[in-house]
Amino acid sequence: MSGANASPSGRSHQEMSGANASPSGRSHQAISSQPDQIVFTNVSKYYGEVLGVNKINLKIGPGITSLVGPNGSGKTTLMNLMTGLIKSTRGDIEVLGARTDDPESFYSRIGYCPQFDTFPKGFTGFGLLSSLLKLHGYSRREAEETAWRAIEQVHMTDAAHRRVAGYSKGMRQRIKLALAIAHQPRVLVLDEPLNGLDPMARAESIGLFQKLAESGLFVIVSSHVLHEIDIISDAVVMMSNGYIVAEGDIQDVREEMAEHPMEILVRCDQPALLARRAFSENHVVEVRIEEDGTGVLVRTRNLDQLYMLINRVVLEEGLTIEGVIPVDEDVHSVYSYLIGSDGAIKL
Amino acid sequence: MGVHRQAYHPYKGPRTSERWRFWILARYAFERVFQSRILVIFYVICFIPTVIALSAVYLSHNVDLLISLFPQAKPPDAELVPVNEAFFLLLMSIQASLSVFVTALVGPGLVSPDLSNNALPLYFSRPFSRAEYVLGKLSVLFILLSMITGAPMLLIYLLKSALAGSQWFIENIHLAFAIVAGSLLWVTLISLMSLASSAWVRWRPAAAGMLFALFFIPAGFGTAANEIMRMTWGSLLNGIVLIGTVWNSLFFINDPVGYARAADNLSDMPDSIDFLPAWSAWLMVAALCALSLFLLNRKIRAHEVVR
Repeated sequence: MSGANASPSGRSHQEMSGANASPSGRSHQAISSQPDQIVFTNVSKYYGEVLGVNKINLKIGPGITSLVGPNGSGKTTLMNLMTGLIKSTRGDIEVLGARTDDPESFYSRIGYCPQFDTFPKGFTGFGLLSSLLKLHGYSRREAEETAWRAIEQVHMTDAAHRRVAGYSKGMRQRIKLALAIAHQPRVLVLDEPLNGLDPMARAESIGLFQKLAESGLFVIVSSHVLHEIDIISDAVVMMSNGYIVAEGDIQDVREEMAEHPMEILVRCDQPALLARRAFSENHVVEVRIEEDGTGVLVRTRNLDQLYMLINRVVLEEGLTIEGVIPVDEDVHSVYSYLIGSDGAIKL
Repeated sequence: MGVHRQAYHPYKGPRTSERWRFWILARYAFERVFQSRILVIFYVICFIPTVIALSAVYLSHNVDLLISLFPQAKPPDAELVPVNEAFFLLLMSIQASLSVFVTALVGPGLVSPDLSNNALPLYFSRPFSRAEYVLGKLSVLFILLSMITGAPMLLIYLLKSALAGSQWFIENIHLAFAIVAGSLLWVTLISLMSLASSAWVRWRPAAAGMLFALFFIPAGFGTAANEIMRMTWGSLLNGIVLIGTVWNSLFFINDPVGYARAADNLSDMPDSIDFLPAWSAWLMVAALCALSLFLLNRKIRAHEVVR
């Protein structure tokens, strides 16, 4: 796998060899009981002989964190572990200082939106929400009031008293989201929450995620739609074959990937001049003038030196810069570099 | 990294007791169960033997009323309906048979729809354990079946006590114990078996059929084994003999053949009836309950295990 050696080491990511995985006891002592983080300590999960995830060491902070990876990479397993639906074969998981052995406290912190439809038969949207809130210990009145607020949040008031079985795909997706947020959790785990939503509903959902994240929630999203992940994520966890390949702020991750030169598009009035000066630099590996003649694409191994060069050219040659745009500093590019065509999904 | 305002406020209101959360599931299940008209009609029919028995016990203590109702009838020489071990064993057998049909109607609809609709992750991503889930579903069957087995027989016992006096109540307290224990055991066994078959056979009619199959197919094998190998241990596979043996032991009937002959004047009762030692029947019932729990434990999971 291409990402095996390319993993950026600047962030607390999982090395493919697992060499940094410390024995569970010691490392657990070091990072346990952190009330403001989701902490995985040397977590492995095997389904019989099938690997789910292996030696995961991960800390997730507030904001939107996206899990990306091809099918079977371990995203859903990681989410199931996080939500206590499955138990790890090895290692410890803490969600804001709580563990699954205290379910009341643990599940009050977590809201889970599963990937597939998971609706008991015969319920209306409102009925399902209020009954599941009762499982959280809400009284009947509180459950009904809270259920209604959640339904309003996902714009489902008109269909609230209809049976879930009659909902469209988009409506079911929204009611799942309502089920995840209704009990006011601090951590939202959303498995492919944008699947089946029309563009309008996607935009609304993304807006809701951002609003929730801004209010201090931990929003963990898995998605195949990388350009949407790019827009909303504060951090990304990339997975492949049960391992974490990279994690952290996507720009930081990209900068750490030294073997893949950064691509920068500089829009300016004299692209040929900039191209000539760039060629004289050792860190520049490729320069290409755009066909429309309004810019130059530079591939460099040292971004800081490139920016210094651009500054020098501006000062010395009077170059006019319209824009400096990182071309491959996005989730899609990082995903391609780290996971590439080995992944089962088409990007 | 975005700037987070930490404006979030979790729910801090009072919560209901964790101990009774399983009842939430049971309550919704009851609502659904009684939406079936067939079940409601059959459930009402299940009370007919009890009503007849109650009437008979009442009339046997009110001969004047009986004669006023049936002027042609002669006053009975002895007690019209002797309320004893045989009476309760007969009633228990009738009610238990009816309860199998109720279980077949209700049981398959309890677990299999949740599994078919993949609803378990929704329950288990809340402070609600697998044990509570099973308890919630089990309590539906448990209450429904207890209402047509143990509860009416206990009512008959109390009516008889009220009519015959406190002396009868005290002298026959072992009957009350046998009724409660026997019906609890039966209801637990059949409920667990039904839930287990509902968890493994997701098609409702098949799950209902499975329950009957569990009673009759192994019984056939058991009888064949008894005949071929000239033994009685094959009856361990016969659910009816099994539970009958347990009930006999609860009613302190140590010689069921002799007791049956004496009680019913059945001199032609064959000696070859496959009666089992009580301990073996108890062990087998416990094993069946444990097996049902094991099967439930294998299936009641948020996600199926990948092999």
